[in-house]
Amino acid sequence: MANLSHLPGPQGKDNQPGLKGTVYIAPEEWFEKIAGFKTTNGKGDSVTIDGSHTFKDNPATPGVKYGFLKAYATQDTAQLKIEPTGERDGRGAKASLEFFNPGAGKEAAEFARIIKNTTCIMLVKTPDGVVQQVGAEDLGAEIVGSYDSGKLSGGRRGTTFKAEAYQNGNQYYEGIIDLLPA
Amino acid sequence: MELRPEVAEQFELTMGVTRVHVPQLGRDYDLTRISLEEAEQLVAVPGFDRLRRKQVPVKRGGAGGSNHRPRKGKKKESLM
Repeated sequence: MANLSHLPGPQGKDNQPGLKGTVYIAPEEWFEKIAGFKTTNGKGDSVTIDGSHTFKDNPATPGVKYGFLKAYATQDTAQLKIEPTGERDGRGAKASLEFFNPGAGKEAAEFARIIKNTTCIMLVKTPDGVVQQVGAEDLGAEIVGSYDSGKLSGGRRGTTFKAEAYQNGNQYYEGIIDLLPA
Repeated sequence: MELRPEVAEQFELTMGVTRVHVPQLGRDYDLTRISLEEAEQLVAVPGFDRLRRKQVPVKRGGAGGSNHRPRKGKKKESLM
C-alpha cells in the first residue's frame, strides 16, 4: 500500500478521451516472453509492464519472428473499459475492448474465425500516446467478431471485434512493439 | 534481414526483429530500410535493444597494430 498517492485533477493538461485507430494483437502462443509488471517501488510501477515482450521464431518463415498484428479501427469506434468483478474481500476487474474493422474481405473473416479460438495480448494507444495492454500471461484476452453487412439504405459493413480479459485494472506498456513482418 | 550497407557498417540487429513500432517516437520502422540518422535516433531510445552499435575491436600490437611500439634494446637518454 506504499504506492497510494494523491489524485490530482487535469491541472491544465489535455485529457482527451478515446483511443487511436490501430489495435495491436498477438496470440499468446506467439510470444517467447510476455513481460510482467515491474517489481520496483516507484510511482506507477505496480501497473507498468517491465520492458518489452519478445516473440518466437515463426516456423513458416525461418529466421523471422512473430510479432503483433496491426488491426485498423474505424475512428471513434475503439473503446476500452475496465469494470470491477467479484465481491467484498475478493474483488478483481475485467477489461473490455471493442473496435470496428470495416469491409467484407476474406482477411477479416479468417481473422475472426481463428482468433476466437485463442487468447491474446492486445495493445492500444490513447490520443496522447500512452500504450495500454489488455490481457496478460495465462490470462489472455478472448476476442470475438460480429459481422454486419449493413443495409442498402444505410448502416455500416464490417466486423465489430469485442475482447475481454480479466486483469486488475489498467496495464501500461512502455516497451517496443515488435510487428509481424508484412 | 540485412541493414542498409551504410547502416550495417556501424549497427547490427540483435534479435532478428525487423519491423517495430516505437511508441516513444510514435511511428513504425522497417529496420532493414532505416537511414543512419534513424538508427542513431532508435538506439538513443531508452530500452530499445532491437538494434545496437557494433563494438569496434581495439587493436593491440601484432600485424596491422600500432606503429608506435617502443623499440627494444635501446634506452632513452636521460635529460638529467
